[in-house]
Amino acid sequence: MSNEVREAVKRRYAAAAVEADGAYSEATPCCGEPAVSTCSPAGEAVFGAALYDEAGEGALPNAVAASLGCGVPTAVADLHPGEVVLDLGSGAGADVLIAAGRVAPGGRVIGLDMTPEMLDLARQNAVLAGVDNVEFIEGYLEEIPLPDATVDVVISNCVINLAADKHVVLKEAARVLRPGGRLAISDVIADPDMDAATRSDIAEWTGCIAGALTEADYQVGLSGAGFEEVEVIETHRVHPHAVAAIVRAVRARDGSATGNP
Amino acid sequence: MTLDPLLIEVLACPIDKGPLLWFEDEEILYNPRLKRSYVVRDGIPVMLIDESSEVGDSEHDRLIAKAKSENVPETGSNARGGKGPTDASPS
Repeated sequence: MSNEVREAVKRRYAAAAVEADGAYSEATPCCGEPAVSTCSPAGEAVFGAALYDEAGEGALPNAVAASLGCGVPTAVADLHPGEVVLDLGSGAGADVLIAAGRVAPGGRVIGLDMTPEMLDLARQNAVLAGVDNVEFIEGYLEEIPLPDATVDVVISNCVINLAADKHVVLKEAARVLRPGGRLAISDVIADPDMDAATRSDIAEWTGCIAGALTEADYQVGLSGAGFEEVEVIETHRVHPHAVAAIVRAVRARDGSATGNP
Repeated sequence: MTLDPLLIEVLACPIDKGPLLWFEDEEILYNPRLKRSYVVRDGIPVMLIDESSEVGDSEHDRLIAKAKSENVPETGSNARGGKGPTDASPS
């Protein structure tokens, strides 16, 4: 299942990147037929650019328009100048660019994504925005190519649910965070009663629903990975069986998460 | 295209999380411990294990000799909490 999921997610988000690249002059269609739907069946914006509002300061409209996220993690991450931020699944770069403004001067933001088309789009957006304290890496969230304890803040916007093995992702996030470092992510959270048919649908997976953790799973996964002060705050409903939420946590200060020598 | 100096400071092997040798002229990052190399595509390091290459003994020897003779930089040397040579000056 996990390779099948990874490939399906990669294909779908590569298509979304190509689509966004060709659609800069138009607004992202709400409930049109984008590669990744950004709306609920009722037509309310539940994913994407419409969630940004004034929080999108510092990011290029293009990057925000191509956003497929379910919240604005930078709005709750409490970033400070000089900090090093890692964005897991950086996509078109909207959150990287917003964060880059917040951590300047002296700070920088690293975007990690497995989709080359999204990385190209993100880098174009950074160049257009004139932002130079950002870097992009092609890699998997389950195998973060950074040393231990090198990052102050991990952000992520509606991506953890897409990962084939979320517990490994949370462990990797804890490993690269310095002790006391913060996690601030938006993600989809499944209702405890999500049905088996929804869970097994690959289209629901790439659309952020089927792979979502329940709140209880998140709590357990974060504690097991070495996080403390875990907070899960529901923001809006995105599906009959799922909500969007902000998840915040602090990497434990005792070093237990990394198995340091 | 070259690699952003900031990336050279922080990158690690996704498998053993240790430092990599950066061969700018060949656009590869090399892990001499696992004999595995990663390409840099248009300035973006491709750190996917399934797209990395295993390197044979003679190629490994060539890269190690070249790293020594040309003083090839190692990633991670300026990462917070990291250690290693302080020689971070790009030529």
